Amino acid sequence: MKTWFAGCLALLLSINVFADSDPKAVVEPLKIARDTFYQDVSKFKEGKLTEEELVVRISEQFAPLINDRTVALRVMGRFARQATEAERDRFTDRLESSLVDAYARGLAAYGGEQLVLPEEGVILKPGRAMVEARLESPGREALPIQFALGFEKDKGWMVENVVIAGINLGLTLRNQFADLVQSTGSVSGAIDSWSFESVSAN
Amino acid sequence: MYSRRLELSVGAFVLLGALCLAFLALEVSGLTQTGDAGSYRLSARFDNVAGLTTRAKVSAAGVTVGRVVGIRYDETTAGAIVDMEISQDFAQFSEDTSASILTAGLLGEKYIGLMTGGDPSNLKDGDVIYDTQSAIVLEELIGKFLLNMSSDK
Repeated sequence: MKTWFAGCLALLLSINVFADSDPKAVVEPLKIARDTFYQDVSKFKEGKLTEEELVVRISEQFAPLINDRTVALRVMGRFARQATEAERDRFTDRLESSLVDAYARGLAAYGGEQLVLPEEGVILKPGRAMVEARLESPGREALPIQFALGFEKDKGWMVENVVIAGINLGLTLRNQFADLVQSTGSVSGAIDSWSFESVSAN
Repeated sequence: MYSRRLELSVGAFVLLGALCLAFLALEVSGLTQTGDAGSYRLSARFDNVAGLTTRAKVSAAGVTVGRVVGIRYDETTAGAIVDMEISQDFAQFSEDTSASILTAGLLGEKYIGLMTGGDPSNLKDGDVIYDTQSAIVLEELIGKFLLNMSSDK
């Protein structure tokens, strides 16, 4: 009995150890999110879901895939070290809500684009990987998309940054946060003014 | 006597001019040594380093913090790895620091711009920066623009 238990424990531990270095495991959460997104969009087209319900569902599906805290710290950049813990929490919340707005706007502009994912990602080092995908649109050149992922012990692989056609989204948002700090005069002011509209307007 | 002194003055002036030109050339090409006591090595992975050369400047907030010491092809990611020597005086770059290939001046020389992030831990000797913005290739941009224009029609 003891041997059986020890064997099971060793197997579980080995799964956790190898999960952060398995190139196939990196792509899995992206595939699940993509396929669920397509299913929900078809339900919406069939009239089984309203637009609000669709946005809520997409936000719920994408939430466990995106490392909000890490993304928020990256976007705040050098100002994250000056900010208080409460300010960092507040910005994480604001970033989450601006992402929901972005999903809603993205859905409005969605024209049947297909995200083509590879079978495997590239493990850059233990706990850090990238996935080279492409977004195929009817009648347009495919857009290369690069996902940067980090491995969280309890949550698995999570997206930390996206590079679309060579444009580093995280870096662009970091510059926009710095601009907001400059225009509002403080980190707190920048957090208060952060919204999908303020970011896309810049 | 007067003629000899004049000749010497002209010679000295020409020599000074040549030295100034040599100094200017070294400064522009980034061949001068930083002269700091110690340095540590960081690398950055880019999709494209078009135009970047070894000994190019590495700067943060416009301040030169180091030099590019090597550029090599990375077969695993099919990208380029840029090795940089960073002065020990600038050891406060967070682990989520990003690196971008930027263009300076009218001559269009490329350099690397580092932008520190919010992670509480700092990069150490031998670490690799994966959060990067590659060089923009003009031909690719024009190609994309033309394709998008034709598909919009």
